[in-house]
Amino acid sequence: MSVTPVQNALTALFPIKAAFVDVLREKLIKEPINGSGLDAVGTVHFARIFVFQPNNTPGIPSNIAAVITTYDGSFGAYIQDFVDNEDVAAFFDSFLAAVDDKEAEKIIPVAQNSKAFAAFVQKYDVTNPTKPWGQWYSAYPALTVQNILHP
Amino acid sequence: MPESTLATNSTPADPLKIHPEDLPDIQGLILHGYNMPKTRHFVLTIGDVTAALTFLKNLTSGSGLLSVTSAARWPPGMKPEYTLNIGLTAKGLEALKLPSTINFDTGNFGSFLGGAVAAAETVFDIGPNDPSNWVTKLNRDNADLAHILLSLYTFTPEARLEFSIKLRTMFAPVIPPPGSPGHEVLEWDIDPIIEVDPITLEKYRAIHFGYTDGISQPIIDEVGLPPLRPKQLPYVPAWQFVLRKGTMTSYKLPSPLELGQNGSFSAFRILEQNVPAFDAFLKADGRDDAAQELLASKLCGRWRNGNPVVLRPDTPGPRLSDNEMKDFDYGTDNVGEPCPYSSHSRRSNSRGGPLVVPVGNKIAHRIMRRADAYGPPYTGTDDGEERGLAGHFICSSLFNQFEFIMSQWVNNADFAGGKALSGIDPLLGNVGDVKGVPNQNVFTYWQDRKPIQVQGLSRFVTTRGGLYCFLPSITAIKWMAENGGAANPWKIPPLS
Repeated sequence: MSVTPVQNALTALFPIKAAFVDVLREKLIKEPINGSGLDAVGTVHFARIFVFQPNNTPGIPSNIAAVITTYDGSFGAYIQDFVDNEDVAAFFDSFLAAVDDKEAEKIIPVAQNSKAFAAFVQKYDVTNPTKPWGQWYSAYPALTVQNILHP
Repeated sequence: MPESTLATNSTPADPLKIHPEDLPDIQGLILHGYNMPKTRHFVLTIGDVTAALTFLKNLTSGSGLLSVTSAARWPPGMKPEYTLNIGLTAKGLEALKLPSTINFDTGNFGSFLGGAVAAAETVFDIGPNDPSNWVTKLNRDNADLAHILLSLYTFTPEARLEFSIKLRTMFAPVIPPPGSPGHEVLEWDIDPIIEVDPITLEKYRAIHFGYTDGISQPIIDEVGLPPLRPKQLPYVPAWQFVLRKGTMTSYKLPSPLELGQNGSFSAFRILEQNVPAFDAFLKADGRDDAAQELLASKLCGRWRNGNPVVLRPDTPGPRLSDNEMKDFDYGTDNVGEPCPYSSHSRRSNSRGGPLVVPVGNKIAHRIMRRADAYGPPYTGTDDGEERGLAGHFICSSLFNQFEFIMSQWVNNADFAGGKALSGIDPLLGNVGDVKGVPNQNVFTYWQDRKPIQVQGLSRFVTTRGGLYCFLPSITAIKWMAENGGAANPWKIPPLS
């Protein structure tokens, strides 16, 4: 069955400043995600955020933080709703401080730079739908978060 | 009218609440519906910068023929004979030759800077709604010369005539001379339809489709408001409608402070309503009066007397009180019964439904409507006359409020997380031209948990004009009058 899923994929791989790798990893391990902000918007199925360090692989930054999610609808349109949540905004403000890109600090605070933040995330999204990237599978291509939670 | 008593104000105002001292600095239409029925909107081109700056000065000096109306409260029983408000497009700000140091952040205010024509695809002004088909002054070819929008509100046709003459006298030196591009001034009259409830004899305003209008508006948080009634929608933080500086806003205030603070934005819209087509849709398939009214209620989410379908599922019943009409939500309904997900009022104000809940202390995606009917009332036969609704849709973020509502709610079949068969807004949606949505000519509502499908839906509203305007504060109008005409003027920055 070839149905284009209603869900969308985001696989953003951000280069991280070496000095921030341990701090960010500790933060991600010790501070649980406060899901209420994501629940309130109601379009995110799953989100994973983690740091990893490819072992001197040519062409790949040596320190990476990955943000991987599956979500419904328009990323650009709903971005303001996400960063309007104080916990979500605070997380990404500190996250951006760790990103090794001189543009990152210009979009802090994300709550007042939502459009630029969306563009920044999409720049590092290796599964950005505007470019060919590969395959993914959905077991329920027609179901949104809302359809699942409130059948 | 009281003119602004504020000197150049350098103290940032409270982002969350309007305070009494703010009122004389904020344009009146942002905070108040004037309830002055005879309106005329003027769109003009700046031909002479010096004259334009003098015009702005005269509008705020208190000694001009007419003055811009602030939100300062009138003494009881002392309504003025007219009110007047002003908006400027980004091209209009450019034409004033403001200093190059002013700043509207391209990320926050890119929609305004780009203008309504550039936003056409985003808000589904495509197909018959395309800006190429708009009224001449605003259309794709001429939009760059639409600079100033003036909205004049009066009580009577005579007053509208009288104050229009004065206003034309004031702006005559501003516009390009006869024969030059932009000389023509667009004048668009609003003549609300006042109807009388047959039972209560209460007068109310209606739109041409026959629905009571203007029932529910966002209430901007203000010092001294009463506690919320049960089920009343929360007050909306001031910064969502009045530009304020602060960390909790979703934007950086345009600078300098004198220019940005207490301003707002308007999506001015002229929306033609095809009442004969709407009428024919209701009457098709031999529907009797009751069946027509039921279908009309499902399309809108309100009966034509304004009663919410969610409170009066089967028959309209007598008109509810004003508060009863406003204070409701869609509860735990996840199907769209009795009020379909696609219904116009659910689409444009979802009252806590999925994907539209308040986020933290923020109430997302509300819009202030200052729009009313134009054209002759519909008498039941297709007379070929143009009629519709026009006016301001006001917000602090055109992107996150006006454009969001149009793109994510009104014209999006995945509204509220893709509720089955929710389709697009049958009243306001661009029916027939939204790509990727099948069966746009079918309207679906639910009865006893089964979908009822009504064939023959078509586009009932066609965009005839749009204009994105900055609604400057009184301080800002004065500031522009003093600082325009710069040698090294501001230009609209490149937009990504």
